[in-house]
This record gives sequence, C-alpha cells and structure tokens, in this order.
Amino acid sequence: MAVGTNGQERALLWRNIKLDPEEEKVIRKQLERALLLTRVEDMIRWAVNWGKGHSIWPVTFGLACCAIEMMATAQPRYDMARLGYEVFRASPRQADLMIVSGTVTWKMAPILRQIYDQMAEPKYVISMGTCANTGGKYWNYAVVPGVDNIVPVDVYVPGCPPRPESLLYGILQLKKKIEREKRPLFNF
Amino acid sequence: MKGIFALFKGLWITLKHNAKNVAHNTFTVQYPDEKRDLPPRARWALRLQRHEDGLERCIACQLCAAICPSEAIYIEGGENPLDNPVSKGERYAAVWMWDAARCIYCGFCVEACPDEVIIMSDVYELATDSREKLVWDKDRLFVPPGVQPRQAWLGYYRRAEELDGKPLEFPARLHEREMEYAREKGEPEKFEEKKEFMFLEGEYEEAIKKEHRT
Repeated sequence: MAVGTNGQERALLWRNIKLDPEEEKVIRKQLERALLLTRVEDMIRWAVNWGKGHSIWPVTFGLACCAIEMMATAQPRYDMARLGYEVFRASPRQADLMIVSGTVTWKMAPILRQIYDQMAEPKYVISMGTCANTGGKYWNYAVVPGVDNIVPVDVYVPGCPPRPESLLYGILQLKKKIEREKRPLFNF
Repeated sequence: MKGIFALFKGLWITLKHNAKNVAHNTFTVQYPDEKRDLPPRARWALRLQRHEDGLERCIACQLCAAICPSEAIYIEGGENPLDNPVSKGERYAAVWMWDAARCIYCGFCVEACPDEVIIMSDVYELATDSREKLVWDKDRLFVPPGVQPRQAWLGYYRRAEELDGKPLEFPARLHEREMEYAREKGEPEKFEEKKEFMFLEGEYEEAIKKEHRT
C-alpha cells in the first residue's frame, strides 16, 4: 500500500514535513495574511448578499390571473414589504426582480425579454404559476412552453394560481439562493 | 380649502378601514412563523395512498392520466408479481410521475380515481430552483406505510359528511335554511316547487332520517 493514500497517513505525512525556520516564518506570514483576507472578503460578501437578499424590489409585470395573487401578496394581509420586497417599481431600471405571473404568449415574449434586458444587474426572475412554468393548460402554438425559454429563471413557484404563501415561500427560496451566491464583489 | 377637506376625507376612509380591520381582528399573517389554516377542501400536492398492510392501492388503470387536462400525470403499468405483490390487483404502477409545475390542481384525478388512491394534501410550499425537482416520482408521491396525511381532499362526492374528522354541513340543514329564507320572504310554495329538483329521489328523506339519528 502506497504511503499517503489513507487520509490519516496523509495527515501524518503533512505533520512530519520539516522546513527551515526562516522559510516557515515566511510561509506562515503569507498564510495568515491570506486567511485574514479571505475572511474579510467572505464577511463583505456575506454583508452584500444579506443586503441584496433583503432589499429586492420587483418590477410591475402582471400577465394573468396569477397577478391577482401577486397583488394580494403585496397587500397588507400578507405584506411582501415585511421581507424587504418593499414596493413594485414601474420602471425596470429601478427593479431587481421580475415575477413572471401568468401566461406568456409568443407575442409577449420579446417584450418580456426587453424588460429583462433593461433591468440592472444583479437581476432575478421568479416564474410564478403553472402557465409561466411550463405552459400548463393553455399550452398551444401561441403560448411559450415555460418562460425559461426566454429568460433565465431562478425560482419556480407551482400552483394555479399559487397561494400568496406559496409565493412568499418562493421569495424565501430566492433569498436563500442569493445568500449562497458568489458574484465578484467589484466590477472594474 | 377644498383641497384640505379632500385630504381629511381620504384620511377618514383609511381610518374607517383600519377600525373595521381591528374590529374583525384581521392583521398581517406573519407567514414563515405563523401559517393560516387552509379551508377543508384545499387542493395542493398530490399524494398516493397505501392499503393498511402496506400494499399500494394504485392498479395502473390510467383514468387519472386520461382525464388530466394539462397532462401532468404519467403512468406505466406492470404485471404484478404473484410471489411478491406490489398492489392488490393484477397490475401495479411501475412508473408514477407527477409534474407539479404542469399540474393545475383541479382535482379531476381525485374524482376519476376508482379506489381513493390519489388524495390532495395541504402541502403548498413547492417552490424550487429547477423544473426537474418539480417532477415527483413514486418514492415521493406514495405516503409511507402507517402515515396518515394531516389534511386531505378526497373528491366532492366521497365522504361528504366528514372531512379531516370534522363533520361538514349536511345538505338537510342547508335545506332548512332555504326553507326559513322562503318563509321570511313569504313564498313557501315556491320552495316546495323547487324541492324536488334540489335533491335526488329519496335523498332528502334519508338526510332527514340521518339527522334525527345523530
């Protein structure tokens, strides 16, 4: 059996490495600096992601009956603003999230794509309801079989239409996804 | 002056609604911490039932797949092995797939099912980040042996008298309410005319009997 294939043996091997004291000092210094820097970077990323996840403003984009439930989610009874999804913006430039709520026809598809392109990065898409997910009952020659043919979708919320709680659950899933993501912190 | 009056008018409307909500005790539902009770006939994620001895109830008749308006159900039947049976019929469902993203939660499959295999549970938290995860297979759909779903919808015409352990409002009572309403309006004759259309033959008498028994 070759030495170092086992995890424990490999650990022993690492422990038995002997370096020159000066070399060790330099390596240790570099390592500490790297560790410190990664920690700071992680902390900043955590803070940025936390802020990003808790302050997402959706764009007003209701297409069909799911939009009624979306509006109900924004109303005081369910109150999306509690979770930081403060207000529906009428302009895609001010929005971070697009909730595609309803049937997307091929005629509507380029408009949807244009609105998505006009949104500023970072941008997210929630596909809400059966029609937006897969076309569902209304799938025929005129209806897009799933909105992920046109825009990249982050969270799918099934239901016909989904309850406001279902949408809120989808929003929480999106928040979890944002907290996990690793975008570059600075774009120069 | 007119503008100031309009301002106070608007405030008064808001205040009125606020007072109404406080009086009716309706406040914001703090969703992730507190969840609302669903109505007893809420229709959400499908679940498949087992017999009491752990055998699957489904016999792969494919009636649910035939009636599904959005083609969300896919079933492949298989010959039931005699020495190690999976279901109680000659066939069993080798593949049972349900697409949660395609389903419109109408409950037709529950109505069509001849043996109370399909029930609709109250699980509405189904959101995920991929469409593949929304296709449920047999392992996820079948209820584990010995587990009773908390709240389940079994169709409009099955076990109409009780649901989730609670008795539902019986037709005879509805009938009485209609009668009272007719009396109040002073038109009991009209009600008597309509009575025979409201119930099937003998159903009304049975309902009255049952109510007296209980």
